[in-house]
Amino acid sequence: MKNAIQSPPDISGFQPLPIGARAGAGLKPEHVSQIMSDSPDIGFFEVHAENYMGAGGLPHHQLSQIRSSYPISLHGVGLSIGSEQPLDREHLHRLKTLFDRYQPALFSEHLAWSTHDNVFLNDLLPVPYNAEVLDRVCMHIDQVQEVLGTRMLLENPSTYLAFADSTMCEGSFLREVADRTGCGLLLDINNVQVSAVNQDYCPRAYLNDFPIDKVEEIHLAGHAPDQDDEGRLLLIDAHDREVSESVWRLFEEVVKASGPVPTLIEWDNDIPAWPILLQEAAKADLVLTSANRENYFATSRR
Amino acid sequence: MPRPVDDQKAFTNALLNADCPEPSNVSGPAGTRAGKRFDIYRNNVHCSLIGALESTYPAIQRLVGEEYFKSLARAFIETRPPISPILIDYGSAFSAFVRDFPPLASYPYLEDVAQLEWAWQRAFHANDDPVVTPEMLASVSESQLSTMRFVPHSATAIIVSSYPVFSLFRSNRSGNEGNDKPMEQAETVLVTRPVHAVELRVVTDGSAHFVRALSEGRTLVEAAESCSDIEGFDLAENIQGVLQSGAFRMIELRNRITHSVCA
Repeated sequence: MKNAIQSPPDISGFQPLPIGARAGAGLKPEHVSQIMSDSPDIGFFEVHAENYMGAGGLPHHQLSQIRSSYPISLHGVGLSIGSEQPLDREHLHRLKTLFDRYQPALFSEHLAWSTHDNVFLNDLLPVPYNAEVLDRVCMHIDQVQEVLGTRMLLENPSTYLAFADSTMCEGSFLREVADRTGCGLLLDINNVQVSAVNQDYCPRAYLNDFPIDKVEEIHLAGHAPDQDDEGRLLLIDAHDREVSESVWRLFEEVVKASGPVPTLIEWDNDIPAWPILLQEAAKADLVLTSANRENYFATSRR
Repeated sequence: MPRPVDDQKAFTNALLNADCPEPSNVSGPAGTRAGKRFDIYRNNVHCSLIGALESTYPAIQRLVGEEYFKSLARAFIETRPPISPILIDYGSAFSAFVRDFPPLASYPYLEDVAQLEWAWQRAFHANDDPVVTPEMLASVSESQLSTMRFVPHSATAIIVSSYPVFSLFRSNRSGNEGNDKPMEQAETVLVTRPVHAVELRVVTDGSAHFVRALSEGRTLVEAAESCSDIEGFDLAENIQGVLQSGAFRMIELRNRITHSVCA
């Protein structure tokens, strides 16, 4: 006997959709309807995983619409991979559920921590670079890759402080993490510029030492100038404006040296109208496609 | 010997307490004082969490003013920091905090507006449940009527207030000029989300009682009986209202063994 009356659930699975060496944009809810009506030619959209951890509603509806037409990349901001304490298993499983539902082409997280005890601090906090932290980070990445059943990308942080107990440089630390865990790297070139100014080193020297062969995604964003107590320039990783000229130059150099990879424009605060964000992505696309062409000619001449 | 692992505890304490000095193992380049550099992290933590509360409680923000809201949110964050990285779930205790915040004691309606904003937020992110349609109800045979129960949609909530809570919510979220309802006019609000848009309806006490009785697992017959003494209660009208609002996700027809879940 029938004992419940309700509409059948809607089950729709997504097939994997890879991201090419194109530019993409961070997805903002206020842009979705225009994107769906304009169908812009853009490589991919990236979303912050934690914004889609509600059970349902408009956010999931919008993301499903986008995912039906574009590949997506999933970017976690709350896993606290650099944490001294074990990873939050419940959170990891929420991530797995989201990953299975949307079949993102890429998943990335940060070399940072954001939770202590059970308090979530909602910022990407720095870690010292030494053997002890290296072991911890590698252990956490192994766990993430095991649960998700995929390789993840680890992003270089923007930093404002130096640690007395660091014994290695950031590039060597990231290289070691990638070698040990098999993870890929997300190179945030704005973070390179921000950290280089804040920590007083040369961004080009940093990039020369960076394990560029492990880079599978690039992030570009805008930063805001400030000053420290001694009146020295500080750059704040603000994501609230256009990508700076210095970061565009570094991006061109990286792409020239290593070839094009999926590149994201991040703009999370003072969010502009969609056409402005699309224009930034088009600018990145131009750099990527000209590198593609150069690579093509270089290969065909061989 | 391995160092005891408590660096992040010291870092966290310094982030959350402005009086707590920055950790001893951090500095600027070449060993300069961390000072303002550490404050960037402090600022990121507080501003981003205040921002999360601003996006969940825009009507409260407008009612108390932007600057006041920042200090209110800061006080809330200090006593109730988030315990999950999912910030859309952060702030459930805000209405109780506002109620108990001594400087706001003479604005008792703020608690109710905050409760309605929280119900809106829950509804917005609730599961995509189906809704009971008039056709489903029509398919129930007469012999099944006595055992028929409605199962509430995940988004459904009822906010009972002694103040014009709906009018305050609407006028302070839409950016219109102030609420035109007298403060003594009580409003009870039914919150639903049949598709993607959250819907708010001002309902009578009878309708609120009816929806609540059904949500608690009473059969339609029991719920109707419990409303029979309420003056002016019209059953047919209320059944129609329940269907229009999308407050329920399914109809159950079997006898339950126990009513304990709804006691």
